[in-house]
Amino acid sequence: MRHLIILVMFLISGQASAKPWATDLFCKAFPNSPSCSGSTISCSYCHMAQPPALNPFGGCVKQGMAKTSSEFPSTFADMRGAIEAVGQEDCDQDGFTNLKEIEAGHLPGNDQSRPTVSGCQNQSFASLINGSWNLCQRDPAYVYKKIWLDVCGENPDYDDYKSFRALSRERQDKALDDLLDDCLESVHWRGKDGIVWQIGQYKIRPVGSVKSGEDAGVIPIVDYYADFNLFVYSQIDGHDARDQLLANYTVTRTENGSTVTYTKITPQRLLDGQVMQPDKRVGLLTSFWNLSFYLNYTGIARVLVAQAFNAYLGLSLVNMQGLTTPDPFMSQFADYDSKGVTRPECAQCHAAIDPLAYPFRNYNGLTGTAAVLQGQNATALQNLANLGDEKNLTPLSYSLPRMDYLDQQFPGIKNMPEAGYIFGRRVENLREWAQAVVDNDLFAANTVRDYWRFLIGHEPRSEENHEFVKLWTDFKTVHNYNVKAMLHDLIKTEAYSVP
Amino acid sequence: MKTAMNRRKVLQMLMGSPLLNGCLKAQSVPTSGLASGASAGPRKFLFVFTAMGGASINDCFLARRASEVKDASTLNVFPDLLVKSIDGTELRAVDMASDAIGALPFPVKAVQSRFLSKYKNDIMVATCTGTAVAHPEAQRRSVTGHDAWNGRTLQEAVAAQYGQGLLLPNINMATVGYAEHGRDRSLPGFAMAEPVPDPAFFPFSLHGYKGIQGVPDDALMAMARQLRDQKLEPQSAFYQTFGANPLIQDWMKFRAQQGRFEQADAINRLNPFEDSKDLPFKNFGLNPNRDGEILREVFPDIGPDPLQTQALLAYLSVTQGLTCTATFGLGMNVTIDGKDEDNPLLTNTPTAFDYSHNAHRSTQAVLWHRILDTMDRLITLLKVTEYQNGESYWDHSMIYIATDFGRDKTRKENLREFPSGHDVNNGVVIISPMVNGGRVLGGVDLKTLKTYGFNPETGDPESGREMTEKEIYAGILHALDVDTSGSGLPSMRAMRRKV
Amino acid sequence: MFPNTQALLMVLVIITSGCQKSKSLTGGSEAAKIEQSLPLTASPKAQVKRMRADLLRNNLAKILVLDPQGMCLELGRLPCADLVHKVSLGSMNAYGNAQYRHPEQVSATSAMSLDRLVLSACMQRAQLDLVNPGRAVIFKDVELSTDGRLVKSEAVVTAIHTLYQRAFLRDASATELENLLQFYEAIYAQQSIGAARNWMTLSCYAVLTSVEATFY
Repeated sequence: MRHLIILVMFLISGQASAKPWATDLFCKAFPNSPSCSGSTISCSYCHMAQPPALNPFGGCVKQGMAKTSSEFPSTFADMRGAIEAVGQEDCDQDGFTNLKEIEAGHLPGNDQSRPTVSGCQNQSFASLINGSWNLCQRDPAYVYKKIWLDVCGENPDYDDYKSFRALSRERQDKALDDLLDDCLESVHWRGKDGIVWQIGQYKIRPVGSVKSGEDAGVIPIVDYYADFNLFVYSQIDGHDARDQLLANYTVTRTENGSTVTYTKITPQRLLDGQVMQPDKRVGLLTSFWNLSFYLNYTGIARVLVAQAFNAYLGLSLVNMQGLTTPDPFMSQFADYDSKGVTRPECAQCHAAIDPLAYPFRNYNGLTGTAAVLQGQNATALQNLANLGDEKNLTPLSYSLPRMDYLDQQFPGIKNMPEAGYIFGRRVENLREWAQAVVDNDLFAANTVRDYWRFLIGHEPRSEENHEFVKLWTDFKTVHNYNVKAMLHDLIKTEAYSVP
Repeated sequence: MKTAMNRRKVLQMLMGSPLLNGCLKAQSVPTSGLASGASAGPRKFLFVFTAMGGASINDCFLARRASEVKDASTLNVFPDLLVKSIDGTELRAVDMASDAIGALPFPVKAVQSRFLSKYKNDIMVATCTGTAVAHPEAQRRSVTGHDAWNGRTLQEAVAAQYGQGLLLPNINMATVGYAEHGRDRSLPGFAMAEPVPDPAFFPFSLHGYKGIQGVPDDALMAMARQLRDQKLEPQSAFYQTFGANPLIQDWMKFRAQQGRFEQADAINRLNPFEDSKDLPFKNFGLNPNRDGEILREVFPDIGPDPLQTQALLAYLSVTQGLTCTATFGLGMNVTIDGKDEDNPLLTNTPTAFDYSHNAHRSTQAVLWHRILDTMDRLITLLKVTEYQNGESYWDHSMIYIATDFGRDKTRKENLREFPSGHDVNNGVVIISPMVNGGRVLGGVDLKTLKTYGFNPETGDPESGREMTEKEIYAGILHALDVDTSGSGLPSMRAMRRKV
Repeated sequence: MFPNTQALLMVLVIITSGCQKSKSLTGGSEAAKIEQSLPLTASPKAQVKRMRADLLRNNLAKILVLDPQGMCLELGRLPCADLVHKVSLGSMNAYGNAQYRHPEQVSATSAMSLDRLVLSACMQRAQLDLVNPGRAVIFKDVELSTDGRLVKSEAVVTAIHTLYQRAFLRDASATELENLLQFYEAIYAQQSIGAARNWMTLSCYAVLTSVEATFY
């Protein structure tokens, strides 16, 4: 094993052509670039679609490296030096220097990606008399209508609108906050298939045909509405958004006319719909649905990790975002499931990806279901008294024998450690992993970005980035992960309130 | 130009069918023609079938017998009797049956040999090794050749070449990564795919008012639209203030084409369903496609069977002159053929081919059977529908079976049913009179079952080579005579039919 | 032909003045300003969002006071906004089609889907208002002659304003009013039978399928 690890270290440090850690170095070198603030760059920053081919900026950086050192930078200072050496050039010939594009959060190697500026910049308000909207200024009436449509889901009454317009500016501001509070209670916002629910779709990824319970499909197996209930709960009523990944509890939903209520249920294994032991539950990561449908019989949870990074951090592992390669000796990186991940061309990324998945080691999807149902090798599902002892191979639970079972198929997989690495940091188990996710700036930024996309209608633009960064920074500190509080600030941004 | 379904051929094909009398009766009805407004010209047509989840080439066209390999007990090979060689080719077929698909208690009866024998001269298998094992990204790469041409999808390239003047050059009924637009910003707008989430409902959205009971007549509708477009809208404060927004501009551009859809009577022409109590089209002034009876004979399960419904919409959309490329295929949802209530058949597994994680062999068998059965029906119709000058639509068509990646080549010792993970090594299937049919380009290493590549010019196998996604992408476009000047795509002469 | 166009235009002027009065609540006459300053200064940001299927359904139901579930049914049974035209109208089909994000672009069929949704709703509203003018929502107290013609009255002008108020939170401008009134004449000239009902339906349709009703 040790020999193998040394070989892997050699391969991923010296021979590989692609350098996934370059994205990490870049963001350490330019932490204030919008590309790195609440986000991170991908390979396409320097490469053509098929690395190692370089795009124009990548080619320039290579020249910059030749000017500053003879090899690929190993520190962020070297990376910064190499890029600054070509910073005043305009490598993609789009009219903006490389540094300008980096500062604006755009791609210096793509002439279609250019910094945008606010249409209102340098506009004289006198030239913007419109009669219906306060162009380039905060327009309370405009915001009033938008909140009604976005959050309440319908037009305001005309008389109410007129009354609002008649208020003083100060009272209008207060009325907007009150309106937002009212609308956040609406079915349109918080109900089944409402806006918050819709935001959760790409995180939970439901499949209609296998749905059990309410709105059952043709093969009713799993009720993922429990996942939606937890997700929505974490986003409303001043709750902590981090609970979507940390909760050990479940949530029920009741809709009564125009009132939708979510109720937190004290963890009670099986009776609350989850098989997982309460002390091992890690929010949506370990839900019945996620483990049964997206982990199912898989040995190493790479797909779950990639999905979680996309859903909760806005990162694409395929594009090498968010990868920090730990020392392979420390991480015990190896080809545990015989997939060839230690081959040089694979190890470049998998030495970072696989340790991300190790903390799922003992979380069972459906492995051993047949044996359990036949009463072999594990406690029967219907035996509540013994079910879920971690010594049993119980589906959908934290199960120590899981790796022993899989070892018959993938010899050696039982040597995979439970401790893993995320963002270069060692975590001993999945709870620590989830904590690292929610503690990361990217989690805050991605949560805010979800609402930004919906309420403003597009990804944050260059000219809006300062507001976006302030919003997610405040979400983490001032709002303490309270989405409701964050939304009150979002509606006051220029991006939302200026027509 | 006129399109004619050759009824004699269809009737020959359907000889013995209980619907024969009905078909004969329908002969007096004029056949459907090309939609007005579509430009003339010898187009090529690309059908992309999306084999979601990882269709393994080793389980169909490149299957190997146990007697052919040394490590038969641990490789994914079949009992000799199940594998049929197709005369005069290197192609293989697997005919097999099974009682269940893993834990799903549905019988499998898969027959591949019939399709291969029938179409062997038009079938080309090209080996390929992909670059991603994450489903959405791998799916995207399978149709962009890993961004081989600025991120333009195959379908977009075909639509840009052959779709000018068509109403819906590029329709896409697929999901997840197969449903994504390409990333080539220089793509002409008309070549971008129109999403079709449900083929059964799609025709309703091809007319603004036909089929609504009691609606004012055409002349009045035209007057109302004229009032809106020429008077109310341009004069409105809203339009004058926000009309420059790109979304609004796109909206107006598409709206301006509405009349062409309506004149083409696409709402009826693309509707293959029968007027019935449940679907009372005639009561609502609609007249489904006049060839419906014949079409339903070939695709008898449209409606309940989403795949047949998709395939038939693809056929109709192309042969009615609206479309030059159509994408459809397996989705994430389970489908069941419940015609025989006592013996229902599973026609799609949860997550399609990715259910191979649970039960590889039966999943691959049932879904390959399903693909080939559906393709057979589509080709049958294309062959009997005249395009121009005595040539059929099939003479100008290509079917590309796109898939995410291959599956593991190994299995636990001697298991007849086993789980499989993802493997980038695989092969693609292309069916068309325009390709180098009856050929397997490349081959299978009998020690590992991994595929190896071929010489791009001669097609001769090269055991030390793996074909890239870019090469396959190029081969497909070149076989379709798409002008790829300046793209830098490699020549893939071996994939084109020798004239 | 409208029974007395000149008289109706007089009514229009009076009503418009009335509207200006109500606008004083908001600090001035919007309509007047709009009329005076056309063409208006365009927004340099020009930032709008599209109303997606659920919002279109809810909003239309509120504007026209209709049952959101029964407002538009293809073949009398298939819900337009929730099923048949859901994606075309900009919403996602997560459960059925693994589409977990809203489509970013408008599509070739979007405007036709909107037409069907709005037209069905407007026909219902016109019918309900005709049957019971006293409890009408938009075309309140609009009278028809025995041969189905629109009877000139302030109610016609009020109806147009009501439609604009409910949909756009403003009165119709004088030009919009004039255009919609002239539209009746055009309809009558084209097809006198049922002209009033057709005018109600199609006025509603023309207004509620305009970009002002589709984007915000």
